[in-house]
This record gives sequence, C-alpha cells and structure tokens, in this order.
Amino acid sequence: MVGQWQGIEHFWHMGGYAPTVFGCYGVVLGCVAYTAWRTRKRYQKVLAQLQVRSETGACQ
Amino acid sequence: MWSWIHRLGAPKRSFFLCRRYRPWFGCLSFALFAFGLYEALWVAPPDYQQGEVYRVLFIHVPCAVLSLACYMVMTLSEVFAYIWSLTIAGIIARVLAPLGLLFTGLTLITGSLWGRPTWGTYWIWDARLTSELILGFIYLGVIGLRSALPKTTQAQRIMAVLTCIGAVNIPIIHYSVQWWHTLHQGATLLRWGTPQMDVSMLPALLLCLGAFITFAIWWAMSECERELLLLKRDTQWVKEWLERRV
Repeated sequence: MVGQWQGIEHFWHMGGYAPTVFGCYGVVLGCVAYTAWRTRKRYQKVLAQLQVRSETGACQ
Repeated sequence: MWSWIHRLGAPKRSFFLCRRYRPWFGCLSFALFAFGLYEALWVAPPDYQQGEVYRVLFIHVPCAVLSLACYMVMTLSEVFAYIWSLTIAGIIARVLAPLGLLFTGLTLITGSLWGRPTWGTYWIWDARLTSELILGFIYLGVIGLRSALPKTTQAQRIMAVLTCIGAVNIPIIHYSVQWWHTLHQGATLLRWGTPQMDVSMLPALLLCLGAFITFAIWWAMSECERELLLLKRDTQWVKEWLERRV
C-alpha cells in the first residue's frame, strides 16, 4: 500500500526488526538533535560572552 | 577569479553570509527530515528480500555519504588555506572534522546493526567496512593532532599536508566494492547510469540525503560563525555588530 497512511500498526508489523530499525533511527536522530542543540548552546555562550565584553568595554 | 575567492573568503563577508543563509538551511533540514522520515518509515514499501530491516539504509547511506563528503570538503579547504591563506577555509577544515567523525561513527553503528539480520554478523573485516573504520581513525588523528599542535602557520601547514595524505583513503572507500570481492553491496546512488534502487524507495533515500546534507551545512555555518566571532572579536565590524544586537 505505497503512498497510503498505514497507521501505527505498521510499526509493529516490522516484527522482530522493530528494535533494530527504531534503535538505528533513535541513535542517529538523537545524535543529530544533540549535536544541533550543543552547537546552538555553544554559539549562544560565545555571543553572550562577547556581548558582556562589549558592554563592559573590555575590548577597548 | 582569485580576487573573487579572496573577497568571498574575507572573514566579515563569510560571517554575514553564514548569518544570512544559516536559518534557511536549518528550516530546510527540519522540513526534509520530517518528509524523509515519513517516506522512510511509512510510504516506502518493504523490500522483497530484506523485509523491513532495509529501512535502516535510509539513514545509513546519507551518514556514509557525508562521512566521505566531510573529508573531501576538509581536504579542499586545507588546500585553499595552504595556498591562498584563506581564513574561512582554515576554519571550515577545522570545524568539519568532528562532524565527519560523528557521521563515520553513525555509519559504522547503523551498518553493523543492519548487517546482523542481513549478513548474520555485526562486523566483518571487509574492504569497505575496514576502510571506513580507518577513516574514523584518520578523523580522530586529525582532531587529536590539531588540538595538540600550537596554532601557528607552520602547524596549520603540517595539518594541511597530513589531511591531504589522509584523503587517499576516500577513493579506496568508494571503489573498494569494485576493486575487491566484498560482502558489502555495490554503489546504489553514486554510480554511472540509473540508480540501483526501486523508484518507490528512491524518494525516501533522496529526502533523507537532502536532510543530512542541509543539516551538515547548517552545522558548519553555525560553527564558522562562532569561530569567526572568536577570531575577530577585536575588529571594528564585530564590535559594531554586537552593539547593534544590544
């Protein structure tokens, strides 16, 4: 049934392969999401540091 | 042409280019991930031989492609940084190594998880698998050396030469399935002629590939912006930009 909504049952029809498939997707998407979050956090941290530095006039 | 490269690679211009286009790549990546996952998990039909477990390939292949692409871009950037002393090229080469390592790790993990039900083993010392593992070690070496060496021009040049030497592994990984008899299947997408994948499965793979590529671009732009801000924090344009943000 290509191109049609097959419902949540479709997941469980993967049978014994469901943990493998979802494990892989979980690991990859988890890593991608964590990397994105960490990158954003690091960027915000640098920005905040530079803004404090700029406001206090430390760079002059 | 070279003056154009220098103009485009100027830190100020690079920073504002990244700043302008990064959100677009972020949104595009998010949308492609949503559509790609929907296609990969719902729409694509089960494989006639592998059944459902083949769905792992929709994320394994993009990770593998990006693990190679990151190294190729890294090498090109090192060449540009070495010959034309482009600041942005050096930064791109520096920030791409951890991302390449991440994708290499994910390729090996997803590949072995797929290999267990398909080949009957998590790991085999096959030419493709071994050369991909070596790529992971090369990434580790590049990251380790870069953090160990002082940030001098000479150290950067040594890194550029070593990165270029490591690039020898890239064609070995790609052509390993043709040069040797391996358990790993041949090229699906990156080959001459039509792709060796059924058209009902191809959209899922292409969408996932697009999602990972746009994510990598978004990530590289974010890191470049951060590095440029740190590097040029005492310049007038950074001070003015920070003041405008307050």
